[in-house]
Amino acid sequence: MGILVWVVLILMAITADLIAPYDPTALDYGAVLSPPSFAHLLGTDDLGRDVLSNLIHGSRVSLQVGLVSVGLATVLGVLLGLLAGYWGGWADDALMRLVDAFFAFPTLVLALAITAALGPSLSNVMIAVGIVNTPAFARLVRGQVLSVRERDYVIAATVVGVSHGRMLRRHIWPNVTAPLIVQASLNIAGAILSEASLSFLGMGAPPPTPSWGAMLKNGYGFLEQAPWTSFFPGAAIFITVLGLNFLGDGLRMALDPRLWQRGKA
Amino acid sequence: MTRYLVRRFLQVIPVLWLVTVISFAIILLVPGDAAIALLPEDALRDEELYQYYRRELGLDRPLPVQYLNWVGKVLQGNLGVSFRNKQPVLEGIAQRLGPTIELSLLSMLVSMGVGLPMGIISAIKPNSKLDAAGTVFVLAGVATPNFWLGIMLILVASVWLRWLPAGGYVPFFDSPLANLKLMIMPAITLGTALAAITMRQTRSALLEVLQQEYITTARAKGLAALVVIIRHALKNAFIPVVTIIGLQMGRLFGGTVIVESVFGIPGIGRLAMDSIFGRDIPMVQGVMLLMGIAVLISNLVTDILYVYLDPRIRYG
Repeated sequence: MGILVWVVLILMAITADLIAPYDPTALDYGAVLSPPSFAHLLGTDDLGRDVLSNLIHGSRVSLQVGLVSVGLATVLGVLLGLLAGYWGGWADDALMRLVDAFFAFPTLVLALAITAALGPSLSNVMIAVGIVNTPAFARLVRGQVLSVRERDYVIAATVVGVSHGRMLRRHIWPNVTAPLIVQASLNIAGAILSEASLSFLGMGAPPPTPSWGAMLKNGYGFLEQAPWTSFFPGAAIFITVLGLNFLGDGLRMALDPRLWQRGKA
Repeated sequence: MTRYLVRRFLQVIPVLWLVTVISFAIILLVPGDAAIALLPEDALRDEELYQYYRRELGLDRPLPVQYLNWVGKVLQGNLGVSFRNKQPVLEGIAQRLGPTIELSLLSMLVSMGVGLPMGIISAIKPNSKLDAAGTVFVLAGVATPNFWLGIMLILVASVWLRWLPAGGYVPFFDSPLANLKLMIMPAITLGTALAAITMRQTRSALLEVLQQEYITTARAKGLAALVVIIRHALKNAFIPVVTIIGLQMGRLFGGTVIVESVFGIPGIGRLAMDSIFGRDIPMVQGVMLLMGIAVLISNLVTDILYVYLDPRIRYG
């Protein structure tokens, strides 16, 4: 299911212009708050915009934020984690205390504060979500590096004088990638949820960019007359996050033979 | 134990210092500077007024001096004055604390009231229909956006069935019944994801304990299944569960921002959001600092409880 959701999300985002039945920003005052029908499969909102078309186009924002912010968090987290785990000493202490301090703040509040300070825009949402996700990656990479550093083959490589660059590239990095992939796939789901939360609170991509969180917020105002305007965007977020979590769990099982064997048993 | 406690307390100090640095640093992210946020709409280009506010806020001084001034005042319990309503930040926070504490406690109650029994049942009867239902609950609970769940609850319980009011807040001591009616949906909204996590943790911890040899021995001695679970298994299984519950504080605070907005509860989460939107920097700094400290204390208490509950743990 995880892969299916991932494939559908990517296809929806790429082909949004082709498959969306209407222009997501097109207003139709003759069809304001229309319930689901053959003309509008998921109904229309308060401005007569087609909910399905907006959902399809909204997948672009979700996917973009998910990939870019997690990409940013991965790059920053890997750099910090390698620095802390490999060189250790005061750099490790300082970075890990900083990570602890970041973990003390609720991620949504931190993301809200950063987005508000930088100004609400899609790129600032990506930066904010990326920053708040970085500590998790830094901690993960550091932990992996620390465990690998003590292994015999790494000690042997150090004894024969392997350079730091080669050590990191050939001996440390391959051991970090598997848990990193799992963490990234799980964090994409979290990032999509964060973007939806920020948009719901009014700190996401400004209109008219279609975003699932903003659609939900808008629909909330017409809950009694048009519940479909709130239901479908929320359902889209739910299915996407559920699917990506499945994918993350599946990857974890596939990449960690111990879990796989336990599952088999 | 004492050595561990001292070490753990000492570890908190640098993190606490960094929490103050991050809370203070929010001011640096504001484009231009915080003085601009103070300028009235019709005086955005008034250079004289801008410079006045810069001096007032101490922004004309070097950054380390600004930080030391701020943290010095914080240590004296002075978190500054709100840009928006000139109210002392600490007073503003204190006024909003009640609803948030109540919401957090009720959500924890939902989390434990639902998560613990479901986790126990799933672990006692693994691979049963009940276990499968529990797994579905965990997957759905974690993936459901809380704002969507809140809105759907309002749709069903308020709009369609007219059972509960859609939002608002009445203090518990003013009218307990009205208060509880208003808080049921927010508590379920915030507590569901936490319940899912608690359930997952309880299930896996109990499953692991149930495979231990001392459980087999207890069963072999002829003890009733319920006695084995309650007296022998749960005691050990709850150790990791306590940790998870303790570490939910951050998630809880993050959730209050959304839930208090959806249900119109005048708590800390709502205050955080209103302040962030209103660029009320002293209030944002104050709320963030408070949340950071609360999470640090919660983590510390959880760690101490962990050592207390599990005497096998021996830290340096």
